[in-house]
Parts: sequence; C-alpha cells; structure tokens
Amino acid sequence: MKLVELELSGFRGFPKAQVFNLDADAIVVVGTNGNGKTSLLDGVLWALCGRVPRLAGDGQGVVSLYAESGQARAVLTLRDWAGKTLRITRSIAGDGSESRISVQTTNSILSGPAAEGELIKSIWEEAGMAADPQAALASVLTHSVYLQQDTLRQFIDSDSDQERFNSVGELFGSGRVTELQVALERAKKAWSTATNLRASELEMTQTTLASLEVRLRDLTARASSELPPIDGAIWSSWWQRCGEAGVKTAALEFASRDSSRAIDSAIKEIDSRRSAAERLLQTLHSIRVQLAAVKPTPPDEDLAKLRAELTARVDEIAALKSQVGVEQSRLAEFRRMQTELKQRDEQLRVLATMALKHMGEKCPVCGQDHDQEATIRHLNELLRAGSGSTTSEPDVARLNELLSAVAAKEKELGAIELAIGSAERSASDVANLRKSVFARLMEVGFGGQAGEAGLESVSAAVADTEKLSENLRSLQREGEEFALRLAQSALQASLVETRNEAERLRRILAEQRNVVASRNATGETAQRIIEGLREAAASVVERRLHEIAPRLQDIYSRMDPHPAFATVAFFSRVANKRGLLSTVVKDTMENKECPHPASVLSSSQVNALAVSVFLAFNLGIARPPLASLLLDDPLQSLDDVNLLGLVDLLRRTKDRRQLFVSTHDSRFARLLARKLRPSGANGRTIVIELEGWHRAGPFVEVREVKSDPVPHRLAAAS
Amino acid sequence: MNPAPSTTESELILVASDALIRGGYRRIESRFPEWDTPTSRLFENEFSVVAVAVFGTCSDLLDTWPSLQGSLVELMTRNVSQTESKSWDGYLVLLTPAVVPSELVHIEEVRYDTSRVRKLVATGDDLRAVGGAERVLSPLLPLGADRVSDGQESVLDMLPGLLARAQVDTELTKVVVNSFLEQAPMMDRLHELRTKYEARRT
Repeated sequence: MKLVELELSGFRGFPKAQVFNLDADAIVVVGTNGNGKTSLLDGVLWALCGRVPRLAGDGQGVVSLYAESGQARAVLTLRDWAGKTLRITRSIAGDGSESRISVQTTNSILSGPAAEGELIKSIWEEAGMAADPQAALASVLTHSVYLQQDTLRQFIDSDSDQERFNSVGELFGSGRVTELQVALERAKKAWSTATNLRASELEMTQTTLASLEVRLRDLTARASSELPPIDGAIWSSWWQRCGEAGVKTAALEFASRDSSRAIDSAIKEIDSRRSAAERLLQTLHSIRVQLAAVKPTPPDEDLAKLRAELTARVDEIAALKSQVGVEQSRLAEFRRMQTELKQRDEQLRVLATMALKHMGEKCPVCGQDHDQEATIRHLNELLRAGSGSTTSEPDVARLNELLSAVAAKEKELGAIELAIGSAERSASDVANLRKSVFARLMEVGFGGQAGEAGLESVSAAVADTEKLSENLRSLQREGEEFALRLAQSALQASLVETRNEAERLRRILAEQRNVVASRNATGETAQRIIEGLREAAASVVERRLHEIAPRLQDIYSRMDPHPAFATVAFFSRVANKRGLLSTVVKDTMENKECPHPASVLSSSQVNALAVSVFLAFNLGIARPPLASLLLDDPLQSLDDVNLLGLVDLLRRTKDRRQLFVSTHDSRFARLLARKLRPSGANGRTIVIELEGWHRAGPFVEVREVKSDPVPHRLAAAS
Repeated sequence: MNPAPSTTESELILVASDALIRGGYRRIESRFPEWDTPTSRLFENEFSVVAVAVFGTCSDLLDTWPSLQGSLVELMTRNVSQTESKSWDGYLVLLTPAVVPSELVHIEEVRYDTSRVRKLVATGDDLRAVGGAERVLSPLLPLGADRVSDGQESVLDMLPGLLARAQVDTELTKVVVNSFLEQAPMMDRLHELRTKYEARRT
C-alpha cells in the first residue's frame, strides 16, 4: 500500500485542519526547521499505529497545544496496487481520556479493536500474531519505513547487539518466533508444575501402597491360624441361652455387620452378671458360716443365781468390814494410852537428870532437907526404868483374821462379777450376730429366716448361684470363642479387602507412573522445540540478513562513505540463548574489519551507514507494511559526496517505493525535486513547502514537478 | 556474472561501457568527438549524462580531470540546460588501472570535489577486485534484483522445516505453531499428538 492522502488537525505542528494530497511517486517536503516537516511524517506513523515511539507520554503528547477541538486527529488514506483503498481515522483527546480509531475499507467501516485488527491485517498481517500488534507495527515502521532524524544512528552506534537483533527480529518476523518461544516456555513451566504435582501424587500413592503392603503382611501373618466357621445353630442356641441367663443384649445373625459388636456387648454383660453371681455366692457362703455360728441364748436363771450370790457376798463383806472397824478402834485406843505412858517416863527421866545435876543437901526447888542418897537412888531408878509402867504389844490376830475373811469374800465377789459379765456379753454377742445375719439375709432376699430354715434357704441359694455362675462362665467362654472366630472372619475380610486395595493402588501407581513419564517426555519434547525455536529465530534473522547483505553492500557502495572500509556486513550469532547482531565494516584490501563502525567512521560516515542499513531493510522486506519510504531530513550531517550518493540512490529507489522525503535545505530540495522528477507522463512528483509557522500551523504550498519534455537531450542534439 | 578484473585501459573502457549500457544508458557516438575516443566515452539516460574517461596513470588522471570536467559541463550547458539544477545531471567517471598509493590522497580529493558535477574515481586497487568497475559505477546503475526467495512465506510457516534440523518432528512443530496462533493450550495439544505417536509406535 502507498500513501494517498493525509489530513491532520490538532496534531503537533498542525493545529488547524490541513489536507495533504500525497498521491505521488515522490513527495519532497521542504521547510526550515520548526515548520512541521517532522509533524507531517509523524502524522503518517501515528495514524498507522497510534503512537510515535520516540515521543514520551502515552499518546496525548501528539495533541497540539493550539488545537481548538482539544484533540488530535489524523485521517490517512492508503491504496494498494489493485486500487483498493483503506481510510484510517484516528483521534485522541488532549488529556488522553479518549482514543478512537475507525477504518473504512471498500466494503465496511469498522471502529475500535475491530478497526485496529483490520488495519493490521491490511498492512502487516505478521504483527497480528504479536502480543502487542501496534507496538510490533510501530517497531517495523520505525526500523524500515520511517527514517527519523532522532533515531537515525541509534541502530548503528547506540543499540546493544541484543537490541539490534531484536529490532531486526521484529522486522523479519522472528519476533513472532521469539514470542512463540516465550509462550511455549511459559506453558512448559506451567506444565512442569502440574507434572510435579502429579509426581507428588505418585509419591503419595507409593507411600500409601508401601504402608498397605506392610499391613497386608501383618494381616497375612495374623490370619494364618485356621478356625472352623461358626455354626449358625450353635450361635442361635448360645444367644437363646444368654437370654435365659438374663442377658439383655439383642441377638444378631453372626454374618451381620454388627455381630462382633453385639457379641462383645453380650460378653461384657455375661461377665458382669457372672461377677455379680460370684459376689452373691461369696456373700451366701459367708452368711451360711455365720448362720452356723449363731448359738442359743444363755438361760436367764443362771444369771439371776449369780446375781443373788453377788448380793450375799456383798452383805457378808459388809459385816466383816464392820467387825474390822471395831477391832481397829480398840487397837487405836490401846496405842494412844501406850503413847501417853511413854511421854511421862521421858519427862521423869528429864527431871531425874536435872535433879541429879542440881541436887544438894537441900532441895533446889523447895529448899527442904532430904535424904540425898535415897533421892539419888530414886532418881537413878527413874533414869533406868522411867515410871515403871508396863508397856505390852496389842493383840492384832483378830483384826488379821477379819481382814483375811474380807479378802476371801471380795475374791469370791470378783469371780461372781466376772461370771455375770461374761454371761451378759455372751448373750449380747448372740443377739448382735443374730441381728447381723438377719440384716444380710434381708439383703440377699431371704427375709427374716434364721436358724435351720435360714441355713437351708441359704444353702439352696448357694447351690442355685453356683449353678448360675457356672452357666455364665460357660456362656462367656463360648462367647469369647465366637468373638475370636468373628475376629478371624473380620481379619480374613480385611485381608481380602486390603489385597484388593493394594492391587487397585498398584494399578493406579502404574497409571500415574505412565502419566508422569509421558508428561515428562512431552516436557522434554517442548524443551527441544524451545531450543529449536531459539536457533530458528537466529536462523530466520540470519537467512534474511544473508538475503539482504548484497543489497546493503550495493547501497553502501553507492553512498561511498569511506575510502578503506568500503565493505559492510551483518554479523549475527546466538550467545547465552540471546540473539546478537552487529554491523561490521571491512577493509577487504587490508583484511581488516571493525564491529563498531562508530570507532572508525566519522559522524557523517556513520550517518551514511545508518541510512544504508535502513534502506537495505526497507528494500529487503518482501512485504513491507507500506510500499513507501519516509525519510525525515536524511541529508543532515551528510557530506556532499554521500548526499549526492543518497540522492542518486533515492532516484533509483523511486522505481520500487513511494518516496516521502523532507529537508530543511531548499537547495537540496531543488536537487531532490530534480533527481526525483517523473520520467514520463504517468509519474508524479510533488514538492510541499511549509513556511511561516504560526499558531494555526504553517503556510502550505504544493507544486508539481514536471518531467523533462525531451529526456534524452544529447541524443536529440546528435 | 561479474567481469574479470580489468588491467588495461581498453579493457576498463569496455567493461564500463558494457555496464552502463546494461544499466539502461545510451552511448552518444560521433556527435562529440572529444568524448568518443578509445579512452573516453559519453552516455546518457533520461536523468543523467555520464562521461567516462580512462587513464594510464594516476598522474594523467589528476592532470587531466579538470579540463574533462570543464568539457562535460560546457557540453551539458550547450545541449542540456543552462540552469544550475540541470548540471546535477552530469557525472564524470575517471578510471585508471594504475596503483600509486602516494597519490591516493589527491584521488580522494577529486572524488570529494562536488563543485560542478559528481566525480566517480577509481584506481587499480578498486578495479582489481572482481566486479570492481561495476562497483565504482553502481551509483549510476539501477538497483539489483532482490534475492528474497522465501519472502512470501511466513516465518512461523518456516518453523517446521527449521526445527526438523534439530530432529523435531514437523507435525509436532506444526501443532505448537497452530496452538500459538489459535491461543490454544500448546502443551496439551503437543502432549496429545506426541502420545498418539507413541501409541502408534507401540
């Protein structure tokens, strides 16, 4: 497709609506800097992809500050070789709040995403597969269709080898390969995560199976002993006997699911009953012993006789004690008199002693004369014998006899009292035992029977209880046997169930192993494809570059920028899984080369190389988005010789591409107009002059460049 | 096919003439004798007038080119146009098989002199290589044919063939590419096809 018409309003340097007829083979735009040349070319780019990548901001940067409508709008009309037109209308509000697009084809008018889709489809379908088609289209346009001054040298001396490769990759469609590769890597990662999850499930199954196999071995070992199966009749009979023995647990069929629980419950009940019976038996035995031990009550006459004897003895003792009192009083009087006599004799001896001491011829007391000798004799006798009164021992035999009699009687009294106490205790013990036995008989339900009748009843009860206990013991043994068989039966069932479960898990495990192995194999295949895609992306770029290489060399030679480094080539390779691309200039005569052209070429020569690379890309693409070449002031910074080379090259390019070239230099504009003039009546070349920019935009003048009426002048002259 | 390197003046003028005529130029004979000699010829197409002159030595070239340029400009002024812009149509091609490194600086000065007409200058060093004469004349010749053999083929369409070199089955690559284009689950589709292949093999 080629450009036919562009209408701009509110767009950068064109605040007012301005329509440009671009339906020509070559369009030369001339104007001093700031008059809107770049805005005009940017208008084409913006209409096509809704962005001008080199401008900051998210789109609204294209809106002119003097736009009266407050929005930027571009209407671009394209036409393909068959005459089919595509009219793109794009607008954006100054604050970026509203961005719209519509695309009008021969048959329809579309808007929004549908319009974007139609646009991509019509001008560069390859971008439709990109994650961001508009960005992909913008990249291709800025690297091969629209040469901008700002980015002229970027590809050669600013971009890294990787950025250069990526730019070229986008241009040649290998960007799609990279996107496919990235998408596949992402999908493979998710796939691996899911596969790892499956592997974890597999491990869990393995663990469960291992545990099950341990259980299986254990069950197999435990289930090895063989027990006969349960006979249904015996089973029923046992339950009937249980019922008869008072067991309340409801009977179940032995094949029943709850039979184990029922028999367990029954056994517990039997055991409980048996324990109760045995406790009763012990009680009965004890009662029976006590009953046998109960003696008859001692007769009351014996006790009365003893009590009479006791009274007699008490009386006797009292009489004896009275006699003892009398005797003791007599003996006491006798002893008092003896004492008085003793005291008088002593007093006399004291007096005799004193009289002997103080004796003279006269009495010291009364002064009378006395027979001193007779007195001394008398006094000495007094000293020797006292008063001469008789002192004899009292007679205590009677008293002793009486006391002995009292003691003997008291001993007899004690014996009688002991006999009475013993008789009373014996009677009490018998009464207590009777009472206790009676109470225990009451407890075990034998009423108040005692004596022989009670003993017989208890003996009968003992016999019944022993029988019951034995019956319960037997039932318990049989029940435990049933429980054991049931447990074995359950064990067998569990064994079968576990075997089946293990088998099922083995099948699942095998299936899971297959799934994981298969998924891993798919992951490996995807990895091979990913590796292949990496190489393929490089291969695509390399192949395309190889195809373009002669074109680049041809163009570079025409520009003839350097006397020694006259050869140029692309050098692409893959390192660390990343595509890299360098532009290499070579001096083939001296066999020297340089992968950094900016280090050996002058600024002008680098510009010439950059223009060469750009044109090579444009001409090297089989199906470019536009059959146009937009060059924004490419003559800047070029030496005259390179510039003439470029102009000659553009003249030759005009046969293949619609040329849209801007320049600030009016002399070169005339040169371009001359060189790009139409060769015949069918061709068309126009010059758009932009002058005197003011707030409504530049003044625009368009003029046609005419072809030579006599193209071959020398031949005509000859 | 590129011609063999030219070593004589006669060969050079013949090779240059042949290249220009094949490039769509018409040789102007008889009318301008000074440009119709064994070492100088005149050509024309609808955009340009090309004068080719061959010299035995660099010194001859350096001594003679100003007068030749004057002759060409006068010829064009008389026969083509008197306006400045018309003179941009003239080209002076100066060739010599001689190699004299000491004079290369002067040769470069001639090449970079764009004062009247554009000069294309080449010495033995440039012309000795295969296709040297054509390379010197290339600014005057049409662009060569493109060699975009598979340009019509989508890059994604090329992948099965490219990946087959890495031993990846073309059908597996196709299913991945198609899934990508259809935004379908790539790994699922790949797995499905791969297991189908595996089942067939077993």
